[in-house]
Amino acid sequence: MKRRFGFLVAAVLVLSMMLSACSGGNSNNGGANEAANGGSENNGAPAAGEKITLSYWTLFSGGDGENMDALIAEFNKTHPNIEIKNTKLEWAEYYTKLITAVGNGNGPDIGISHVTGLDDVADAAGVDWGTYNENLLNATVVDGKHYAVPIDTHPLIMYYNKKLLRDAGLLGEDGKPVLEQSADGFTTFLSTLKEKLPSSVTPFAFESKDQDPYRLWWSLYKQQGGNDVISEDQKSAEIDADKAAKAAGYIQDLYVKGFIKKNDPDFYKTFQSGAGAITMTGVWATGTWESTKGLEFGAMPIPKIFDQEATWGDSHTIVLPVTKDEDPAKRQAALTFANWVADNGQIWAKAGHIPSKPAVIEKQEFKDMPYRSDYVAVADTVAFGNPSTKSWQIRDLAIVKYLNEVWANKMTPADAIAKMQPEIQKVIDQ
Amino acid sequence: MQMNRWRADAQALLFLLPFLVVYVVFTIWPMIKGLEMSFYKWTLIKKMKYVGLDNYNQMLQDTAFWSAVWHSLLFVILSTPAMIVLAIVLALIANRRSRLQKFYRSVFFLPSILSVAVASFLGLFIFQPYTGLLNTLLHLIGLLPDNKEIFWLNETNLAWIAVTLLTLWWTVGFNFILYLSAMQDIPEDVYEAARLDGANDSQIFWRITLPMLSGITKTITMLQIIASFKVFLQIYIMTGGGPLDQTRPIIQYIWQTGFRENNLGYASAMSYMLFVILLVLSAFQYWLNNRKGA
Amino acid sequence: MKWIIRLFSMLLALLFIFPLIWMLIVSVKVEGMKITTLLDWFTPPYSFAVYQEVMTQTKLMQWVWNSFFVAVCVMVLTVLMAAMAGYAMSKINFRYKSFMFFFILAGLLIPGEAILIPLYQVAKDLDILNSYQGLIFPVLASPFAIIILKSFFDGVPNDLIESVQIDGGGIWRIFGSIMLPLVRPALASMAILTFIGSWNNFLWPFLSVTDDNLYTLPMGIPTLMDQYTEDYVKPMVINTISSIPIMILFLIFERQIVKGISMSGIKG
Repeated sequence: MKRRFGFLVAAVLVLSMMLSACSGGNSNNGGANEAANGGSENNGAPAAGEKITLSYWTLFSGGDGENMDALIAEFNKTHPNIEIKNTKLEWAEYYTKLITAVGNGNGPDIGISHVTGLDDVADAAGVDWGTYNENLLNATVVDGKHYAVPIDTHPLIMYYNKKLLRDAGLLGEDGKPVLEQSADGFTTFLSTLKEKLPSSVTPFAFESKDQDPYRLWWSLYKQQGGNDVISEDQKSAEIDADKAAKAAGYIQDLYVKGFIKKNDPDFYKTFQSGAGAITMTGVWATGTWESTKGLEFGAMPIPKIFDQEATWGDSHTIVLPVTKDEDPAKRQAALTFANWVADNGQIWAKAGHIPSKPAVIEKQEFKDMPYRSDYVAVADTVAFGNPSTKSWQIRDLAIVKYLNEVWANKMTPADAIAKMQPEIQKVIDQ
Repeated sequence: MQMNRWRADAQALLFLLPFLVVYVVFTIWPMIKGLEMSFYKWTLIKKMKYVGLDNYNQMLQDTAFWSAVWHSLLFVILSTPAMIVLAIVLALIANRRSRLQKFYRSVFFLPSILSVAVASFLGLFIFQPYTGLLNTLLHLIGLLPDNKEIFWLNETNLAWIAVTLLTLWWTVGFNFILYLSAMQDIPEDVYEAARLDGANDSQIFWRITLPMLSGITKTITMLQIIASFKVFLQIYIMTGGGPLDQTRPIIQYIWQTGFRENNLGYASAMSYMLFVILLVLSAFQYWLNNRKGA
Repeated sequence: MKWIIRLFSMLLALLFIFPLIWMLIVSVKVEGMKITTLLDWFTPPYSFAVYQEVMTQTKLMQWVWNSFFVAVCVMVLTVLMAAMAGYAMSKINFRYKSFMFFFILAGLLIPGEAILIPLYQVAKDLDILNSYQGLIFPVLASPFAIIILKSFFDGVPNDLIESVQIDGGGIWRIFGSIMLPLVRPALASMAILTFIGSWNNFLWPFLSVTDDNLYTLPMGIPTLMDQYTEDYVKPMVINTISSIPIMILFLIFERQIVKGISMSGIKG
């Protein structure tokens, strides 16, 4: 996943992939890119009676896009009776596309109500929910019903530059950082880095605004056992002000103390070029670092700053939107595909994602990929927010913009949190 | 030349028809449709329910809306005088008799043909800290200490300066051309007469050139106010409307409301307000001009 | 004094062109360079590798083509429609002419930005979102061009028309082979202004098109850019490729462009 332009930095919704069970020709996006399917165009035409064609709407670009193409090609090859047609949508403005495409004039708003339950066809499709990571699966269950198939999780993790840590005397014999898992411990760790390393090296390569600091804030908030920012019935803002302010205050300190290069326009490059000792971002960066020549790095879960382990994370999930003709055969085929993708998570994991099935993590193919095993355990401690149709609006319109002020040291954590509360309520009420 | 009346009507209709079709369907009809939408809760997917004046009431109480209106106005205030002064200066330069006349004309106008997206990204890269063009330039000529950075796009006041400078560079060319052709329309003998009377260059400029440009200045002022009020993409790309929405212009707010918050009804109500504001701006301008002219 | 003015002029000119030179030079740099001073942006090594990458691995060239195609269609259709309407308004006496004039003038007061939201709904109802038609048709009505062209037709003496009519020429012949050639400079200027307007149009394509095969440059460029980057090489390649065609056009048609802009001053 590339971090691209502003529209989309927003965006990893729970509903980030649409598997539509309507037939391919039906799609009102007929002109879109179907080249992804390579040569396998319609050579199954004679067997029209048998073959089920599914159109698949994805929003992946770059490495993710290629890995998904590989998965689809493999699936089409091994499942002669099902053909998946991939329509790639662009990240930019995908939200608009999603609601207009899925809504299709049928329902009120995009959301869980637009997604059908999966339980009726799950057995027939050979889905065993028990094989999925429980924590990830729980985030897709509403009122005891399954609504989505999680294929991965992509949490916030910490990466460190081994060479720089070694220079600062903070790399242990085992090649892991010498870091006490506590609020003071992490601060001490960073101040040691700042002291011991040349001034051209920033101890903590990190973004100064928007998504990644938000993710860290969410993690630290959850590490104190903070409840979700909205109530379970999605009707009221319920941010736990003390804990939220404490988390924000801790991170603000990191900026104020100069551990983070101020307003770094490109902290990826800072870390990549060896000018940053540690960084925190989503697991999707693993692939990027791997392909960087001369970067000797390690990966680990973000430190436990407060009481319990918790990390921001999200999942790519496959959902079936409501369609006019609810053809069970197609829905079953769709679910077969989703389950198969989860079963073959090692291909998907190339970008860095953690597979959603513990069994995949045990596969030799997965173990052979370096780094991943160092952070797979995070899957159990990812703290998801309550599923909400407005989750990204709440984040971007009500939370992130105030946190940004805290990071810039223009607002106190307590003030910022106090301002968020009514803004969140406003978004919910709209 | 007695043309049949009906025939004339038919011919006129035939000639006007293609224009009228697109005009009615894509300008007039949306104008009416927008009014309808503003009375509804209306999402990207469909019309939801009639809400009467709710959207308008919400707008009156929405501080984010009014501050966005203010930001667009602020941009008008910042950019319009600068646009006019700079355009006159550039036109004076390019109007001087010199071998470089044509060169100046091309160079001053060249940025204006850039696509708004290209100009905006150039703006972003010019004003970025650490590696941006401006900061590295300031470092090089010693105006900025090596260990210091100016965060142009992170501080509200600096961000306005950055956006205004970028917009000046990018669009002043249009005003420049208007001034230049107006200057070239001033008859040479007017200058000659003034010189014979012993006027120096600065007197000629203040007493002759500038007054003779007053007509085009009025026009440019009006066009520029409207154009500046509609600012969007350069701000969106350079600052995202931040920090804390302090640079978010009205068009961005309307777009966000409609397409990110999925609320076309409210966005339509705000669009109507935008229309009214622009109308008032033009009317005010018209009144000013006519009052002075009278 | 003269000397100071000359120096000042040169400096201003340099200021105007410097960002563009910077854009061109950075675009041929090697990706991943470490930039510590301004000079690093300008020194070798140079390479065209990123050009090749951008041209083959992104849809930028498709978008250049889309921008051109749309701009040419918009240009031809807008000017044709405006010329026809301007001719009718100028040379045909028909009923309700003054009403029609006000109806067209009213359009000058409707800013495109104010009708975008309902226009989206209208285009959706007509099912032309995500299509070339959707990019082209909604921007064709230009009351401004009509008013300009009408004033040019007004300048053509009526005797000329009458003499053609006496020769038995129909209205199409009058329009096509007499009137249009006579106002050709105005047509050219309107055409160029329309072209530039379409080329730079951002908001409408941005809202109406979601299929990346139909993107035009202004809306496509942001999707290729990483807002948080210090590596400007690829962005600058994208900027350069997007700007070269229009720059070449500018150098060819500079005179007409200047004239066209001067005309837009008449509006006030």
